[in-house]
Amino acid sequence: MSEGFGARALHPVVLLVYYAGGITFGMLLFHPVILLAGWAAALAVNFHLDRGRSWRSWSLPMAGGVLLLLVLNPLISHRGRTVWFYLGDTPITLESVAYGATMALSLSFLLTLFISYRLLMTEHKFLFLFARVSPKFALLVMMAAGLIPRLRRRMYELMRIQRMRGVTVSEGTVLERARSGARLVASLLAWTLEDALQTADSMQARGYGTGPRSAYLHFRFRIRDVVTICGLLAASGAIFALWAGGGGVLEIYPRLGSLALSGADRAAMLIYAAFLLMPLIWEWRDRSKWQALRSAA
Amino acid sequence: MRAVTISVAGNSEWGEILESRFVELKDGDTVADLLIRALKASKLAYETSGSGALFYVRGIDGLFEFDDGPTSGWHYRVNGKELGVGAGSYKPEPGDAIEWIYESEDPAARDDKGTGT
Repeated sequence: MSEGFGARALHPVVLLVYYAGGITFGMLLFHPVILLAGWAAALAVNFHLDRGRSWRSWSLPMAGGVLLLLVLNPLISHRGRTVWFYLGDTPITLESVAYGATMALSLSFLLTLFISYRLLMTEHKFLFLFARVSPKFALLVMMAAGLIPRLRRRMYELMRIQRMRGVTVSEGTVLERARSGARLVASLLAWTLEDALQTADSMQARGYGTGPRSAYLHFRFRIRDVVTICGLLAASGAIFALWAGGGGVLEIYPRLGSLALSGADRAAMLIYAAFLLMPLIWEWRDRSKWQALRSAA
Repeated sequence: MRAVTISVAGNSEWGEILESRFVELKDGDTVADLLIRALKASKLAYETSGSGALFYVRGIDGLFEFDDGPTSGWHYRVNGKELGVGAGSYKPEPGDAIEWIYESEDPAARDDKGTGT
């Protein structure tokens, strides 16, 4: 969808505040119910932005990480006072199971948030935010972040082409497969190195690094950005105050506290969910505006 | 029956975790074996590391080393005396009284910290 629509049209600074706050409170508010609510909100944003396509492509590795945390924590940590059973000589406590589950929730929630980050915070916005602070670093991060997907794309293309010639890693003896794999990797490396040389030549020809860099400021701070950032900061302040007062955190060690939400927990959860749902507000607002304009025309 | 008594006492917050009780002493039992058998019989949690002479108790019933400060942790005494031997290598005699005690501050360890570095 276009860059000028809904949450994608927000100023990069606003998006930075949104994600910085979302991640910070995702780690501070260590309560399974609140994390579940945050996860649902982040999922709703994801599904609204691209119908959950990129979230689905990440769901398998995410599920793996969640499962690992769920199983591993009770096996490694024996904190807590309520023993469920003994696995040989290893006590499995209710508290470490609860802690593992909360950690798994926190992980899947933060990853879900990161997937929408990749959709909203495009390279343009990233460069806008960091290119003036440190141009070299921003360029390096951009190139490094793009490297793995680019290599994957090229490898996939190479594999499809070479299969026509019979070079494949899915057929033949182990030795043949290994030889084909080595040839594929060798072509990938040659391709990538040549591409790097060409990029460097091209940058030099365009005069990169000959003088101080200028920047074209593509983004304007509009009224909607002012409104949104004020809302986000106010919500952050409220959540932080609630957290500092002991709200929004489940007591797990040494003895599991009650899962029931206290007043402060509930307030923190509601404000946090509203904070996370911010992009949806602009999506809905722009969509209804668009519908109205279309029906008027 | 050959037996020893064993008790586990935490800090002021935890109080007495395991009241003094008789535990059967089998051949080759060490203080570590007895502790784990007594804790399992009472459904208490524990975390240990190492085995044999390197056996070490990190925590019992959710009370862990370092919870009360840098020199706090679990110690054991046999007949009221602290031995300089690991719990995994000391084999008690029948009738011995074994106490596991959580010490919030260990003067020896604290002095060691000051001069050791």
